[in-house]
Amino acid sequence: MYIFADGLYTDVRVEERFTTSVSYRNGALEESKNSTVKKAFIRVYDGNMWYYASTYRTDAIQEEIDRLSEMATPDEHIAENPVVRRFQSNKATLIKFSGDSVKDIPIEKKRAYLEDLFPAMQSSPYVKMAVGIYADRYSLYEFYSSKGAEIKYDFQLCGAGVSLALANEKDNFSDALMSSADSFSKISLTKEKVKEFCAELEKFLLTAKPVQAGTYPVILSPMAAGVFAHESFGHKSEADFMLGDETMKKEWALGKKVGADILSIYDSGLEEGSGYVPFDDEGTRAEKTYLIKNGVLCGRLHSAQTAADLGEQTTGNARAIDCEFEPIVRMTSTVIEAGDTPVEQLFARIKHGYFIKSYKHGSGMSTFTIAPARAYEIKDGKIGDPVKIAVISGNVFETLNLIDGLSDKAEIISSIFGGCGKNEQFPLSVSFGGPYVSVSEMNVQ
Amino acid sequence: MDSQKLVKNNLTYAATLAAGEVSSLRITEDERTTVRVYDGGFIGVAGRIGAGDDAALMAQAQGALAQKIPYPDAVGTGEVRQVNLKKQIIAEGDFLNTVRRLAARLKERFPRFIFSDKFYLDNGSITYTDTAGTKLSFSAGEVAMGLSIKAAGSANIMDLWYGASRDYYDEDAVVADIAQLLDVYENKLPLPEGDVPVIIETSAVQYILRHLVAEMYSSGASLFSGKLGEKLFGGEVDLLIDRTPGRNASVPFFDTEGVTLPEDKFYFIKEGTLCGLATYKRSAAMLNMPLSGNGYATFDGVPQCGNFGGLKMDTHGKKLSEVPVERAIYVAVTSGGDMTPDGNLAMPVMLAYLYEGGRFVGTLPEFGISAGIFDLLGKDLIAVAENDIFGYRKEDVIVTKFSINR
Repeated sequence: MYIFADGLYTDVRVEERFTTSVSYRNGALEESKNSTVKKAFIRVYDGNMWYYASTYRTDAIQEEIDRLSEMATPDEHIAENPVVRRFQSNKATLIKFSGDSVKDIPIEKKRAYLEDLFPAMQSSPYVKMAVGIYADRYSLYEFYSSKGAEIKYDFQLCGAGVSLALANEKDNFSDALMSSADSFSKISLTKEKVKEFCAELEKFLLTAKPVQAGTYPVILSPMAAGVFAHESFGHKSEADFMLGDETMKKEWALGKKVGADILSIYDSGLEEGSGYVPFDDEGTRAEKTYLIKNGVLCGRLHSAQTAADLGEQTTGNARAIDCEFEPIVRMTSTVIEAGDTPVEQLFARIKHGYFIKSYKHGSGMSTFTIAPARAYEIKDGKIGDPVKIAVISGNVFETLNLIDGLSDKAEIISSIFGGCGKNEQFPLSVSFGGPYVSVSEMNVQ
Repeated sequence: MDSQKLVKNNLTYAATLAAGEVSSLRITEDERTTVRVYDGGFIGVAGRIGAGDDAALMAQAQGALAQKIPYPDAVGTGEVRQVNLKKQIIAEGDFLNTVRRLAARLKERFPRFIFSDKFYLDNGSITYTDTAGTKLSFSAGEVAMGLSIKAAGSANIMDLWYGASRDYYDEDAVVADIAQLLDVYENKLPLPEGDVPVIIETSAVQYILRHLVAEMYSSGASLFSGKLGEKLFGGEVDLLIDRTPGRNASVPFFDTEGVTLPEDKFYFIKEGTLCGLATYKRSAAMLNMPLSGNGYATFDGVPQCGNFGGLKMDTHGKKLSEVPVERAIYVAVTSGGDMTPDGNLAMPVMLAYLYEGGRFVGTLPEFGISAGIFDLLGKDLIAVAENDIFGYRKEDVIVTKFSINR
């Protein structure tokens, strides 16, 4: 299909992306559109430098290949380069969603889905602003490389959400409820759920109390646990942070105890939903990679470059947000495995602490941070009053060792809204999850 | 039928540093065209990436009117203004070698640190025209860098960050800035006791921005609802959008709807008084409020409120070296943060420096900070100033009091 220059590694990634976007504010339509964009990203590697180009002129990809190849310095031994040796040569066609494609559903039906929720969105007299949103995406990917890879696969995700802002004379409170799935028929944002959500937000508006900043036991819902896993440990597992740091490679050696014995975390592009990545953006087939097993560091997430640098193998984690960017090491679906403690027992052990039910955003460096949306006090083993917490945080390494309970069922949370940010690339579609997680100490502010 | 047309062009060179070495060059060329039409109280939008048939795009926008999205007729005033600030900052042919020189110099000068991430050379232009005869255009270039810095052997993904974007490049000034942060990095000091002011970038007030959105304010759900015209903060607090061409390298003087501002400025807070809200043409018409230039849209989307380009807290020319503070904590890197609905802000601080005698003297252990937003920018506010410790990076800071949570 393309002519690749000798002495160089070249790959071409093409994505045709169909999206829908619908939004209403207080019942008035604000956006209703479908969009299709096709772009390509070309990479050329000479063993020393990478040369990239992004183009919307998908009929002129060969020109871009030739232009980049002229900048590079061919190496007749390129095939033996440790990075190049790690690229796979998969030939595969994996079309999963074309028979149930969001492209085939009229936009009027998507609008009707939201319109049906309007009465529920206004079911509290304190609702001052009600925003309903629908979004979907169907992507068709192609990947070709000078090592003979030829891959075609698709990805689909859709979802609906309501964002409610409530207020009275003294206070305000807002939060959002979303449901995403890989098929329109599986979206589960019902009128009943929206009504319940509205009632819960009303309770927060009227009764939520500030907290006394300090260190407390905390229970994370599966959603909060997922973002905790993602922010606290997931980013640390992305091997590019170890590049060129020999001391770090020794410090972060596989086999090191990094967390509680009950803790196992994996990352997998095979899970359905927003972290579904059957082939990464270097053409590597998806894998399930354990990062921590029984508290012991046992894996990392790699691109071909980082795998070569560390003498390890690729894991299917080289991803880009779209064809305007090069792939870098990213997560796919990052999950804390379930334990064996019934949820009620996790709560019953806590005399005074907090339950984080939903979150606004999270970030992770040496300290990870989660900004809770809905949080509750735990008193004498039971969920108590709603509270206002700005952030919970903790040192990553310390907190992983402070996990003292995992409930017996894990959930994976997908979302078409938002995503993961790293360096210049935001938002990347990922999913995360876990069981209810009990942490004996976290900073609460 | 009234219509608008927006054309954006960009050519970007981006070099990646990985572990201190330049590992890649990315070239991106992009052209996006947007057409919006207005008829009978509705808007139709169409967008295109790359070159194409404008007549077809217009027809597509007219077809989109069938979606019946209410929108007031949004064409402009017939203003004509062209600003071209483009100049050669770094010749494209020299770009890679320029970045390699910087990388090599950083490696030599700071051997115990690893530098990664991105260096950009960007040239762009944007033009807006409409059927009212409005013709606006803005062209500019900038150098931008976001360098993630790690101390060798650190267990962190990164230890600190150096970011800058200017319309000129000065390698010596970049290295001098980074030296301010790294020369004292390994001088580990304890957290100072007592009541010590905190110096933090003005971007820390970002958490109030959603409360300044006119729709949020008018709904009653904003922290500031009902308080327009009230003095809520200290008299030295001016929060505004300033789109004076050239002040921020690549911020155009008009928004996506062709809105320009009197003297290129719009005040949200002036002398501590809440005096303006963030609007775009739909919300401004609906709520009978002045336009603030906050219109934002994707290339094929209906405008909404969201463009805070040019936002600043006015320093009135004051420099940090002029602020009468002998000792303070300078917050260099936070690990997230947020604000409760009643305005209590909290942030974990990943890296801070002790500021003494007008310079950074060492780094401090991690801690948390919290404050109520009205006190932070009110009774506890000491100054808003330009951080003149840095010569290349433009950074405005607040000097104020926070509770320090050890």
